[in-house]
Amino acid sequence: METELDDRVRHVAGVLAEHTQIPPLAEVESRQRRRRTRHAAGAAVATVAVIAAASVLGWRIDRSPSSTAGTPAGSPGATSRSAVAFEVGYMPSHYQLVSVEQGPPNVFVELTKRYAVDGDPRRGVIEISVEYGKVAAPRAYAAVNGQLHEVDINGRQGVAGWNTGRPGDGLQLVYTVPRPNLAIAIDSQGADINEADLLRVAASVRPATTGPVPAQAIVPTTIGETLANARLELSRAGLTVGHLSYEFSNSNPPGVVAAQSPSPGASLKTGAAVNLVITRSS
Amino acid sequence: MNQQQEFSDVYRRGYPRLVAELTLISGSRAAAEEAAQEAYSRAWGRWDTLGRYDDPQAWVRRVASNLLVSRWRRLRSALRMRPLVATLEAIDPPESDWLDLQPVLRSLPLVQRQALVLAALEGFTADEIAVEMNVAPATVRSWLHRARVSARSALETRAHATAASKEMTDGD
Repeated sequence: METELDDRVRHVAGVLAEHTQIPPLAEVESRQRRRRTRHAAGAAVATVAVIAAASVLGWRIDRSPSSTAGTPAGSPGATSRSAVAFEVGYMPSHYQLVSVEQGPPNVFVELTKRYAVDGDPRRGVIEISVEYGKVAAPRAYAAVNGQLHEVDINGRQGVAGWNTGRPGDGLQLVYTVPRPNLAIAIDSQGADINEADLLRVAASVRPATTGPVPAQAIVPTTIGETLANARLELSRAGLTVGHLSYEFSNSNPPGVVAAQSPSPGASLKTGAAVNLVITRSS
Repeated sequence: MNQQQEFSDVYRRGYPRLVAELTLISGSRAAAEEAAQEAYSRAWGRWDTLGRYDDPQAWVRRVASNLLVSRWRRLRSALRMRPLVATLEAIDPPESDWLDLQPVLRSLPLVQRQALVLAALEGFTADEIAVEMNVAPATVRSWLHRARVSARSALETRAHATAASKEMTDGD
């Protein structure tokens, strides 16, 4: 059956390919030229905005070529930050910390590098906030290595975030295990991002904890939390999610933690895993 | 061979196949063509780098696929608000296998569709699909199994319905 189904897929693909007209190469080049023009205009506006925003916030702009990331005066190396402000309709070009790409109504914020603080990737917390007017309840998607996952605001794949839903509060996402090519897309479906609205995107990398990493971590309680919230709670405590198992439950809603091991209050080595039992609807 | 010739070769060789693959995933040839054109246009802008890749077509496929998924997610909410009327997009010439296959593929979750098409068309193993889609190999095996079971069941149902309908027509 696998072969038969695969054969049918291949056959249909062959017919589809056979009847696909290839647009002239000039069309591809022309599309690329249009995008380059938008890039250039957007980059100019955004660069000015980044410098202005950084100055207001007291961030020192790194003078190295093609860099728009800054570090806060007085704590060099501890934190890096970049901020981008741009008008919808312009597409800012590549930035050191984040790149922003938008084709209304979506905005994509992409972390372009792997970040670790003090050489320990577990300690790096990347916070991205996006603020814009008129947006009541943006949805968020996170993509790791290009694959999109709906965050449901609460997070998956090591991404956690929240959104108050209040206009102007924007979206906060905390990413605790830095990986390259994390992209966060803020989808305006149902919200209202218009041409020429001003968007501000700020991303910062900071230590997850101040001071030395404690050797021991106290297991927090995650029972009753969604998996995403449990992951966030555990990462805040310096722990990770271990083995996941599932059980049917009529008393609890599906997708929440029904049990955990070790129990809350236990002391574990920092970075240790906590196994969770997640409810599943019968 | 200069850069433009290289790109042109990759484009002409890869475009029809990519459109076919994206059409199978999205169910819409228009969306597939748009995503493919946009991806090739982005590739042309970075051909200095991409031209040195072993398989630049893989980059194009990844970008096109992401564009398609992004578009699909944008549309998903809007579609939820509409009456659920299955609309089949005709292709020219009409192809009975396509008419059978499209609703079946459409009934599968997007990730299962993507995995199935990558396995069937690109000949990817579960491990290779896992890398492409950034999930665990076991997840891919599970998706492929579920997709194939669902597709088999849906195709059998369609075949029975067609046979029954033919019998009734012949009976008249």
